[in-house]
Amino acid sequence: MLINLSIATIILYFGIKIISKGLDAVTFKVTTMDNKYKKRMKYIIVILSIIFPLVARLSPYILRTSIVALLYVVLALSLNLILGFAGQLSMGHSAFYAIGAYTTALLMVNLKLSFWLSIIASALIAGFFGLFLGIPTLRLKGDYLAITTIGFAEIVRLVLINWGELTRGPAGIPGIPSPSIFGFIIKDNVGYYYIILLLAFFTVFLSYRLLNSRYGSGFIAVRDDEIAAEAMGINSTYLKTLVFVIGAAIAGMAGGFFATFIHYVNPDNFTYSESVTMVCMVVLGGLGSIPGVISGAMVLSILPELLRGVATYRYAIYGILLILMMINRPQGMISVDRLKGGKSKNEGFGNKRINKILRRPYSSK
Amino acid sequence: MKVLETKGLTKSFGGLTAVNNVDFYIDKGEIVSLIGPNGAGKTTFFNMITGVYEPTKGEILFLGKEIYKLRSYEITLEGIARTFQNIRLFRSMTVFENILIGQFCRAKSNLIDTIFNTKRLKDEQSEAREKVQKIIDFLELEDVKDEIAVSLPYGIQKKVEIGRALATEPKLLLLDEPAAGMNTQEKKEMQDLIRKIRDKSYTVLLIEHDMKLVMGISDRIAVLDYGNKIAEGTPSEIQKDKRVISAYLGKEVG
Repeated sequence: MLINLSIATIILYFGIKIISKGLDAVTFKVTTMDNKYKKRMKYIIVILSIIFPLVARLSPYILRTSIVALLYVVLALSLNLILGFAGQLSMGHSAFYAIGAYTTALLMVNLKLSFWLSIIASALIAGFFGLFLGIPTLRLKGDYLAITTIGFAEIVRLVLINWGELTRGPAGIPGIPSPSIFGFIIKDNVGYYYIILLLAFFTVFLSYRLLNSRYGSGFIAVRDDEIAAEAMGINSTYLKTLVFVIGAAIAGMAGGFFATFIHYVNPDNFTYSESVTMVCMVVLGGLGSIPGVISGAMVLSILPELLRGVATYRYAIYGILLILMMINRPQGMISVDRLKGGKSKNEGFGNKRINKILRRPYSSK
Repeated sequence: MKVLETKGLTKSFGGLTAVNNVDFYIDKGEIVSLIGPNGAGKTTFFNMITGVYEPTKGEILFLGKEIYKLRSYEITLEGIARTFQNIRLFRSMTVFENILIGQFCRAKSNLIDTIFNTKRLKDEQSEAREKVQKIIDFLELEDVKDEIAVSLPYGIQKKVEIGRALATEPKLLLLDEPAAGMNTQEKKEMQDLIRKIRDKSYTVLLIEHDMKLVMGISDRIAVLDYGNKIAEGTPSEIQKDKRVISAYLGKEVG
């Protein structure tokens, strides 16, 4: 077994190196492209993702996997707002996901509310909890914030298990109805695909709008240097809380979708490992890079399925891949630096973007 | 007109009084320097004005308004901008983006504008970009404006920090050791730059160790030693002041 694993490690190592180069080349091509082509690319991606289920419906397995992948895209992007843009290490994102899922489940089962109202309620309630958690904890930094958010996620999970009258405890809530739109009840996965695709587009859109506004720059300024950001007139507490609430609200919506998609929620769906998976997706994809996080989420949700062929080694290979990836490409699959048209920091000073300046004789670095 | 005035400003850290009972003022359009040996309390004084520390005692008036209870970002909004002794540029941003951040605190667009990308937001953004471009022209940073700021030489980084502070449209500019670690040529450039900034009707408060620079550009100098203000006056007065000389060089024996 060990021999097999070491062979796999070596293959993966070189595989990543090659894929790495490929990703860089693609990113470089895309960033240096004309705006006209960029726009065309965008349309092609949108159209492809819209017609995809018409082809994929032939294989229910592929369709279902892509729905789950898109669900994780939404979750990872919502975490990316907090972790990638504002640099706040939140390790309890599954709490908001759980709150959203249970809100939708309870409203739809007990009050027979429509799916669309429930999912908005999910967003509001998860956002409220984001505010509730954010105000006291966002004063903390790095590790301390991570610990408090882990604690919060555990509390949420334990409440879900123990508050029997409301949540039915470990038995969970079964029989969550399907959403309906204009009187049509969405029964098959093609419908679900379009709902989650809509949610994913909304999240991508929101991420880009935020990133390109003064809010996005503010988030990044806070991530880079909080004291300097304050000296630039940026209210860092407000921005951190804001991004936390937005991220929590989107995760809540994703939770609401999850509840109707699976028709059943139980506390085991929202464990700590779920939060860790989301953090992995963001970091593997590239902190703060929207295309990176999307691909990170897709890779990490599709990969376990692809690895079903090597059943025994599935999670071992998954783990090895993560480790190797972080050794080889700590900046993630698609790094922000490259998206800005430069090369990554850890490629040393052979850097096209900065070598002109660095080679000046009086350079101090 | 007094831009900034402190009355009996005191800051203690436990038993140590870093700044003790300092009265100080700056008039509009002046360049005032704050000097003193290492550990004299200059940066603490700066940090109190900019809201990083809260004073133990005393008041700070900016254009006649109490500001010592405000938080750091609110003070910037009032019109005080600063640079840092150890450069604190945003490391993932280009020069242009770094300076643009300074403009954002003057923007009025809200979250709704951001999500719907309204006309107001677009106008505001292009206006901010124009203003930043003006600052870049003023500081002669055109060549490097799209470089990642922290990858640039030290002297240029200092300039970017000044640009970033100017972008917040301050009435008072606080410079914390702008010429530290520079060579003679760069120091000379910095001196010219500070003069140019003053000529654009900014008021400048400077902390600096380089005496040539301080004596060359200051209208007035205040000297701190062990947290106390020991002298204040024009450069020539300060050069002759006995207490200043003894603070820097020690007393003559006998």
